[in-house]
Amino acid sequence: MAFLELNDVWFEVNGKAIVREVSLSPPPGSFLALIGPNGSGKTTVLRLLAGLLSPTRGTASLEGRDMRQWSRREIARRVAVVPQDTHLDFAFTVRDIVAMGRHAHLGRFQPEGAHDRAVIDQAMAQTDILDLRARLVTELSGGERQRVLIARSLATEAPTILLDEPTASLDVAHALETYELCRRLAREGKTIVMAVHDLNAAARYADRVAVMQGGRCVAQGRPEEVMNERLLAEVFGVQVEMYRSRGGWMSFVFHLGPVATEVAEYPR
Amino acid sequence: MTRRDAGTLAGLVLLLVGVVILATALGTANVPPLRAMRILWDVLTGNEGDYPAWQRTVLVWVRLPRVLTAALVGGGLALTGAVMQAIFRNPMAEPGIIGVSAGAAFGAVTALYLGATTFSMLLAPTGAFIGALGCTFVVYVLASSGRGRLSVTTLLLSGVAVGSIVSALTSFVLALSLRQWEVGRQMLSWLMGDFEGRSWGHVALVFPLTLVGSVWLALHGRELNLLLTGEESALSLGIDVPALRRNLIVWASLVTAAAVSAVGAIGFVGLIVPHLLRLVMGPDNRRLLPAAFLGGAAFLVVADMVCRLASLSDLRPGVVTSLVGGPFFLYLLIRSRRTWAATV
Amino acid sequence: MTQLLTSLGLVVLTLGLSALAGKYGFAWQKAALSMPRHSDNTAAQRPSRIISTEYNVNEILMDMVAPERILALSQDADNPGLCNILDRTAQIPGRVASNPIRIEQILALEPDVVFVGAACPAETVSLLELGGVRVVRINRGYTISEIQENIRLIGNAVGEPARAEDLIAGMNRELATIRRIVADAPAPRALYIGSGYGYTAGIGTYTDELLQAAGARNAAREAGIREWGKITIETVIEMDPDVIFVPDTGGRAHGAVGTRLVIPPKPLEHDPVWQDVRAVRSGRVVTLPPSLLFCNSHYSTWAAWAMAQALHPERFQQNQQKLP
Repeated sequence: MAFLELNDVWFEVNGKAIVREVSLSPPPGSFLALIGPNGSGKTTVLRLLAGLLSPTRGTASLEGRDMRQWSRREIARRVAVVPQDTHLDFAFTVRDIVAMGRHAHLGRFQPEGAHDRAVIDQAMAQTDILDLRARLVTELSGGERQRVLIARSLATEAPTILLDEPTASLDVAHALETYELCRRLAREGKTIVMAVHDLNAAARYADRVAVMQGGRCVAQGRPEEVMNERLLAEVFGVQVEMYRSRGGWMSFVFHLGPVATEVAEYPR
Repeated sequence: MTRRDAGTLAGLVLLLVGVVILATALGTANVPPLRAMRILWDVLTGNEGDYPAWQRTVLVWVRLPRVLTAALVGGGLALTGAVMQAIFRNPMAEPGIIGVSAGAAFGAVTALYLGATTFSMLLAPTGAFIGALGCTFVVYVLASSGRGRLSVTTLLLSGVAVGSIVSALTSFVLALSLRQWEVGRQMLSWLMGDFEGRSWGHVALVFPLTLVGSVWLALHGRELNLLLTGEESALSLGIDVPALRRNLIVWASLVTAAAVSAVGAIGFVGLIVPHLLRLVMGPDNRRLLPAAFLGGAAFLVVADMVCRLASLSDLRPGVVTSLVGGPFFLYLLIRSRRTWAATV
Repeated sequence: MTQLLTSLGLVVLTLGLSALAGKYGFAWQKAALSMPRHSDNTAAQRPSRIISTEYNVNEILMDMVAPERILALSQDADNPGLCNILDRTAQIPGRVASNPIRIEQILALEPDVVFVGAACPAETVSLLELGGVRVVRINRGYTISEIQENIRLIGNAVGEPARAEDLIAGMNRELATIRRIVADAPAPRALYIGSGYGYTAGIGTYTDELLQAAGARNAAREAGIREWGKITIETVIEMDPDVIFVPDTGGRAHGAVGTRLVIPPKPLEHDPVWQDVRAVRSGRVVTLPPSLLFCNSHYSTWAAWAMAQALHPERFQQNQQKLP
């Protein structure tokens, strides 16, 4: 009985299938990367996992029960979402935003307690935004806002965190820190599902990879098994060269046209 | 809550109390302010004083309830304005946005057209109340009758559409009645808002709904904050957004309907006061809602006082709120360095 | 589900509380404070502290009681556009606001009786009564008989019923005289147009009755207009009245019939659209003082005199005018 599970799920809008026959069950304590070209359904799969969308066919279940039977509060305590769009119109402080993650744990008249404050502070420390705590979110850069939202999801203490391209606005250092953080969290027992466009990062940091194309999940498994040149070339419509870095993990180089013919054999 | 915000709230409470006292002390009738205080004190302590009976009557039965009505109405409108701005995630929203004001106007005007005032004083407010709630109900049902989830955009558009239709009908009834100028005059008086003649009965009418509704809404400050971050964000943080929105709209409509039925259509309070306070206090609704209530109450009490004291006897509270609130808001906006919206 | 039920219960409870509070609130304040201040009967029958808040009551009152008994008149008593007896009203210093009526102002004067108009809101009447004042609401005074009813009402309220009957009889005599003078004269078609916005006097207005008494056919009546309805410019051209009566607005536009507002505003004699109308072509657009046309008191018979003179000048060689 998996924790979060999509079972043969379809999602259709106006007769068009955005997600087809997807079965996915991220194992607890692992880092699952969703990769695929734009429009392949990655975001929709994440929203289905979060219970924000209901499948047209098939079931999305949480701890064995259909997602629709859970209340939003209960879901919020188990699944946290870091959205792609970090646009925030109202001038809350960073700490206010992170503190919102505690909502599902607090009763109607219950104010923040010591435990809540500790969780909030720790979440901000883990994402390196403690020195931004009193700043207004409307004054932050896109990357800083992204970290604030990650901190918010950490503050919910949810065992599953779903992230939709969280490193899109981050610089190299902060992006790597985010991946490191997610891997660390996975080691500590959290379930991380991240839609990611950086294939190198997926290959290096993820425990499992699910490849989406045209709404279908065409491959699932460990990066070593799934991410080969031919599959990636087919899915993304580019020429792919795979190399090993000095550390031993896979790196990919992409070309639009055919590769120069001199390099016929690639080291594998 | 920071020290600064606690200070602002305390300041607002003091402002409200001060303004209420001032408004009760001054008025059209020539009662010296100190004597007015003495009369109020005597009423509280049960003494008989040596001033003319009419002064006591004016103070206790004419002025005091009028000031309290203004306070309750102003507070209710400002608080529901803040709630609407949170629901629609738009600082330009105001309480009547989903048809409450338009429906109330139509209900009142129809009741007046049917000769309500010759029968009873309660019929026009009742008509306004029913009209307000009926219109809101229609707006909500129309917006949520689609297959998809109710979105705030649909609600807004539905409110605009239904509101326009109802406003057109109101104008029609008004035009019909202009043939009889005395009915037309009463309708216009209602449509511009009027505090003259508001007595303890009106206070009793407005008080329960305003109190219960405002308390209920103010207790939901944290949820409103989460709503401000976006619908999906709020859902994922554990808020049942459709249910919360429905409840918020119900209570906000009730409070607005009560306020508008008692004194007529007074716009601008629900738009300006939360706006101003947000520039000062930030968008956190846990602090903003109580502050809005206090600020709105003080604002409307002052507006009523200006109407009473101005030598232009035709001044209406709605005019004063717009003329005072608008320029002051512009001034604050230019001065303010905190941005509350990056884009529109 | 329970949450829904509790919410619903809370809403219903609060609504019920409000309704009850409203109902009993009004009733309680009435019971707690109904003390007629001047409870001796003479003051009730013959009040000596009278306030008028309507311009027509001003005029009726001035001719019915001695000036010492009038505490205050409405502000219109100083308005030459609404008052026919400015020199006399100037002798009474007290003034009160009339739109809106200011309750505090009136209560501060400690009157015996206050006359309010038909447009006065019920809340104001109720609060004035709570303050111990007798409030008499006159009716809207659209027709001559309604005006006379008002005169009677005022007369009974101030203890001068005989005087009221005198005024009424005077009105009837004047109208009878006018009718006699213009009897058998061919009745031209006349139209009355209020200042701007195209309002005219249709069936069921005193202006209509005055026009008929003055020996004219009211074009608005023939067009089927009721009370103070609107008339369109097309209807006016179709009716082609012989005489048009307008209030004197000092040369400003008074011919804005329908949506036809002329910019810059000019009197309708200069408006090209109106040139087709016989009255304009023959120069028979008659301006009358607004105080005559708007007053719905016994002075409205003066308007009938003025109208009759303009309509049938040949019948008025002897000086029967009574215009001020």
